[in-house]
Amino acid sequence: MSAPDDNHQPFRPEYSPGLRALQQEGLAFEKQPRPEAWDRLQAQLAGRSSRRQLKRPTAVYRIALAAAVVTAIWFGFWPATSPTRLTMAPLPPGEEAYYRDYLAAATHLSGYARIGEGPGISAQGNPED
Amino acid sequence: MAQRLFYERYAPLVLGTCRRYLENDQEAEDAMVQALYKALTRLDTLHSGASLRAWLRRIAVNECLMLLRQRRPVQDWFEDVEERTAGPQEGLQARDLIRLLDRLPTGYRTIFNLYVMEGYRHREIGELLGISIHTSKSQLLQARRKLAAWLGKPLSE
Repeated sequence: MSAPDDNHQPFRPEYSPGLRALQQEGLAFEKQPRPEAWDRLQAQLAGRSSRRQLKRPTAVYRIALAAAVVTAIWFGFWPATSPTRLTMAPLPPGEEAYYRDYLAAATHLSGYARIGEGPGISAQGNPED
Repeated sequence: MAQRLFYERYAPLVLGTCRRYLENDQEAEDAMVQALYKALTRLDTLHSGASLRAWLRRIAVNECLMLLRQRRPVQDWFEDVEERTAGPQEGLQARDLIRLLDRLPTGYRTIFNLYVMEGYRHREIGELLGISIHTSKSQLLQARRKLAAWLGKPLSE
């Protein structure tokens, strides 16, 4: 058995001719709006379309701004990807020989213990025993 | 242009519907403008095969209910049942109907409109207004009794 309300009993106009007329009149009832009503509706519709036009460029600008910021961060603060990478300038004449000697000396000295290893140096600057 | 044609064709129907719920011409017109605005901007939500007139009436009814709720909480509609009178009506015309409906308290009028004119069920009215089915039924009965009395006809149950 369905719920009492499911037994929808539509309005039975035969009970009352007055109410039947009322229902029929009510369903058919149409009322002519004042001319100003169209102007109001038109203004609302126009407002909506102009708002939509405004929204579109705003969204585009926001995306463009975000893209610009990301690009700036990418190229400005990340040197590895910077288009102007650091490159070594060509050595002046004679410099190459200097570096070669420096490299030879450094290689020669590489057998020595580094600071902090081996006998070390005391706080007074004397070699420790 | 198409919007204008749409308006000219359906605005009277929407205004007529709104006027049954709102006892004030200006308020009914406000509701009509809002309802038509919604309809025109959401035409794409109308399912093919659905009745445009029924769809418009539903939008109009929802708009009116929203306005009525803004005016007063739904529960108050049924508490303030002030006694209004109208003489027996003969040769009922649409404008007489509106006059009679205007005399009904908000609760009676709304439920009478929803049930009798729009064909909603009590369960649907209850869900729509957030009231019990019992309230909807009793309000409808009171509304019918009042209207029948004003129409000068006995109301058989």
